[in-house]
Amino acid sequence: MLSQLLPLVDLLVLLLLVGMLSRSALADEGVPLGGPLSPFVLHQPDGFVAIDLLVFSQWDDGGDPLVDEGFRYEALRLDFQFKAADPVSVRGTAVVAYLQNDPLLVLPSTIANAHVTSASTDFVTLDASLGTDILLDGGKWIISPGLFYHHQWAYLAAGLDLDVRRILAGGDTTLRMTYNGRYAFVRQVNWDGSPVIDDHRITNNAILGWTQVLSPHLITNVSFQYTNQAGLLSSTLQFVGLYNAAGQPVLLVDEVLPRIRNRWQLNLRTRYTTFVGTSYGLDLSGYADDWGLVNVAIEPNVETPIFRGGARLRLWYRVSDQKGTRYFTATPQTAQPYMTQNSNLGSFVNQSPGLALLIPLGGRAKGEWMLRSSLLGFYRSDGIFGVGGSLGFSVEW
Amino acid sequence: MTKGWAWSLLVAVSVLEGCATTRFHERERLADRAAAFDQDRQILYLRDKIEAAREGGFGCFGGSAAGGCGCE
Repeated sequence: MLSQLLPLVDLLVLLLLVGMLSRSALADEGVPLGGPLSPFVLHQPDGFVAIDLLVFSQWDDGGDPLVDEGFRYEALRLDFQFKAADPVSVRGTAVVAYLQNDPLLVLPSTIANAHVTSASTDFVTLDASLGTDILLDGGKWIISPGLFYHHQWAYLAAGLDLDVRRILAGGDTTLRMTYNGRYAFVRQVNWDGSPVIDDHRITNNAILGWTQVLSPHLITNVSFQYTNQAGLLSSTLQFVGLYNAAGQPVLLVDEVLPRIRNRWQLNLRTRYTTFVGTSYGLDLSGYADDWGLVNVAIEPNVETPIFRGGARLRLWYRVSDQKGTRYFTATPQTAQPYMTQNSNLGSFVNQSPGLALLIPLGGRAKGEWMLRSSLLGFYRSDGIFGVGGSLGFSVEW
Repeated sequence: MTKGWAWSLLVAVSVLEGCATTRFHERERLADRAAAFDQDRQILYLRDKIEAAREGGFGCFGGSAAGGCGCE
């Protein structure tokens, strides 16, 4: 008889767990569950407008000897959001950028089918997105459909976005489930100038996150993320060099990668706040995919007030160690079913420090103005490095 | 098997329930921008452009490969 009662005991235990989580979700003392992206009553503006100037330079002192990955990038970015109705916000971005690649790289004369590897050294890119955030059930659900568009020389992508977020609990223990989906129509040109038949890329991304307040000073977050991509995942602007037995490049062929990619990622983040305005953080992440690529990263960071008037300085130093995909092949002598020489898919250690300075400019015309600047860079052990920054203004209300 | 998992989860939740529950007046530190897990969205955009595009994944620390904001 006791064994017959065990399933009932299991059910009672599960109901007890649900009840305990629900009790945690009922924020005590009448405090609401908080904004859509925070377990606390963190200030969420009704709207904002931000304009930023971005500049970035990259240099290539290694990497693929057949490609010069150096370039200069300048962009102007507009970002806005406003509340259209009580549960509905509209948001959008627009970025106009000018990208100038390093001068044409003359290839070795041993290569039979190409002499240079860049058809255009300068071009303009345009990015735009528009979406809405719809809050349901007191903010526990957020549904965000959207559109995006990207256009540059030899590459065009446009399509639909859909984000769905659900807060499962609240208070000191918060569980969140997030789904992001993107359908992209893609039109590209091959590295040799030949057109690519129109293709697509579908991305599905799911995140399960657990945020836990451990004390009035310490908060942690653990999240697990799964990403699936299907469609055109190769870069048709990338090529692979085939080599002879003497180590000389002799032929350029297409990069070929699988049309499906699955990735799993685990993140752990902590924030320790000594007093209001000063917080020390440590972020850890690791991901692996079915292409054999593994990446682990650690980032200590600190944010603290400086000067007077509410200015804040944030510093971070991120280090990542990546083991490249098994499809990465530096000097192949024959074509393989899947192969790439894209250095971003290779093996390296990447160090990227940065700082950001945010200076409130006070309230004017019913809005809070902010001056924002940043300086950051990266150095990869394979010889690719860069530095950049931004300067911008924003107003929120 | 189900019973074992349920008891393990019950113990875990009980431990968490035993952690000090923050009161409203104690949340000032963690409600400040400095304690937010995610940076200013404009700074985050530039970091994604520089860092995420230089590695084999598509963003880090919860960033979404789909382009939406999946940050926690």
